[in-house]
Amino acid sequence: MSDVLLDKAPCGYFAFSDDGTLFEVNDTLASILKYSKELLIGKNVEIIFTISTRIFYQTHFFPLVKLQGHAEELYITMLTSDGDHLPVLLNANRLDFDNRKLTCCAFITVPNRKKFEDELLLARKAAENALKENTALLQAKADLQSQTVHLDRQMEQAKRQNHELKQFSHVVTHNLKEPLRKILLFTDKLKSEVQSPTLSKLLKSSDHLKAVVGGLQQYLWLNEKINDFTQVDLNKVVTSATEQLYNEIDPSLMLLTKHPLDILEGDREQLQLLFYHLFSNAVKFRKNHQVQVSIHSTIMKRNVFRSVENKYKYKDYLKLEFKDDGIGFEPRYREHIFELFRKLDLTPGQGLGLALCRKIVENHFGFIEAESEINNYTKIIVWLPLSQQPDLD
Amino acid sequence: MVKDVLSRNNVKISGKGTKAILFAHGFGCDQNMWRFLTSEFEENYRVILFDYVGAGKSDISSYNTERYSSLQGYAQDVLDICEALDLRNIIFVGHSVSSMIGLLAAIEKPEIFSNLIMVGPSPCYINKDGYLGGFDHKDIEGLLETMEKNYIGWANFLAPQIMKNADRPELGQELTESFCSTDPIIASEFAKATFFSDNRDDLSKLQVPALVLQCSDDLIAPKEVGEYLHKNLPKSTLMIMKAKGHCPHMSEPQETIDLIKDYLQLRA
Repeated sequence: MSDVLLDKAPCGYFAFSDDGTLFEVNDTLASILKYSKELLIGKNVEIIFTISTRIFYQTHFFPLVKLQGHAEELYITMLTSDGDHLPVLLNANRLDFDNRKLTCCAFITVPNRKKFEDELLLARKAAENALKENTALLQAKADLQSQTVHLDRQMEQAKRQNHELKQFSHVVTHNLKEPLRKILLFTDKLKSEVQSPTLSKLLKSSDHLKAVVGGLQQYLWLNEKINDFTQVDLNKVVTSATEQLYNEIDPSLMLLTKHPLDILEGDREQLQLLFYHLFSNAVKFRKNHQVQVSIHSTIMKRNVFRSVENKYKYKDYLKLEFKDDGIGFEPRYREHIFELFRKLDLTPGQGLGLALCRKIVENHFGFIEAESEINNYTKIIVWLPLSQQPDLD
Repeated sequence: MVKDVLSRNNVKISGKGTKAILFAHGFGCDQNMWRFLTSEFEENYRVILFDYVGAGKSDISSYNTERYSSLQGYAQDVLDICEALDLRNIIFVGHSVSSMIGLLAAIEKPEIFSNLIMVGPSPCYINKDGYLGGFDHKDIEGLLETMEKNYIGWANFLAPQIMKNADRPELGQELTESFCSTDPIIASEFAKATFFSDNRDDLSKLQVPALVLQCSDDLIAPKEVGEYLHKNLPKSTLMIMKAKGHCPHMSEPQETIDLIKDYLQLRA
């Protein structure tokens, strides 16, 4: 075929290299787009596309032609030199020419089809939406129904358990505490009358029992407490928690590095208790005379749904990382350490601190994780939602 | 669960090395777009390819509008795969929007990543509050319209192609490999999640070292955007490529390979 015929062919034609440089265009293209041929050659092919088509060219057209070697039936919009938009239908293939790869394209303009197509698309979209809404609605209704039943059962169960727990807590606080107090009193009295190693053992055990009951009481308090959510500045909470700890221990036992922390919605009293126990644990399980603790916080999005499957809503969470250079623990105990009265060693305490921490974090609808390496470090990671509002949108 | 994720995301593993390099495709294509690069890394690395849910040969039935209307949902795909394969200290190579998906994943679980390599990244595509992303809302609306038009009637560019087995008629007709995502609704939702995302505030949170591969003359991620990223990503290196356009790994694979290898050698 002669170049003259291609020049005058009843279709726009252009060819460009992989870096987008226009290698060749025909007369028909130049006249449709109101350019002179010479002006286009050597320019970036994007010049003859609208901005939307340029994005489409970079994300779909080029990758596809490069992978497949050809592309058919593309709908794109060309841009004339005076800014008019021109819808076209285009085919492309890749050819070797003069030791280089060229993408060759031929197109016809389809101005009248656009109107028809717009209408078609509008109608199809309306139908699709109606169908989608209907299906989505029916699905939502079914989901809601099954979840309501599920929720009702869980509420019933929770109510029952809560009632039992309250009774239990009453037993612990009163029925157990009072006789225990008496045992301690009498043993003490007995000590001044009789000298016996058995007696001091008895006293030690009773003291331990007293501490356990005290811990349980605290745990139950957290269980029954109604959350008092306000905007809490974590920097201040950390300061109060360290002060609380320094009243009990030698302050030189812990060196704290704190990066600025954020403000979040939470229960101030509980959060202070959380920090207190984390610090107290770090000191308890230190390796050297002084434990180094660092706190780092980042805000990031996480899915708020944790039990319901296939539901997603991303909200801002605060990720708090407490890291110490203490004795650490074996990674296989990652889950166990948060259990009530679970102890991994012979150090003082009842194994209650981390259980309380988990309770506090759960009261905030967050979650807590741990990682560690023995004789190296322990890192407790706490995720807390920035806001406690279960907003629905 | 492990097997589920691997088939859900059509995960493909090759290579002789132990250190993993994960390639994440961008919007508009699937893992095939890496085919000019991967063989160069197979000698020394464990090469991992995948398709995001909704793209390529992933399991479309796992698609969930709520999850994937946010880049966070796509980042979860990356983390799911890393967890399923128990990966640590990996090199993550992300094209275009996958750079930001990788960023989100690496902020959430920094221990999984040793380096992020961002090919043609942008933290925000829309011009706003003095920031120049390159596009206005109406440009993106126009893109969505163009995509839709390529699914209907005679403009069938994006629809799955019918392959005629002329040489083996007994096979009849079957759908060919379609490199682009084939579902118009998913594609349009991915476009919106991509082009309406704004991750500028997340950049400073990245602790993992990152390489920004900036093309010259890239409409989707202009040079100013590359410089903005370099300035705001704490441990970043900026390399300006000779390659033009938005897909250097396809138009100039050798340059892309060389720069990635240079960077990794430098960091090693």
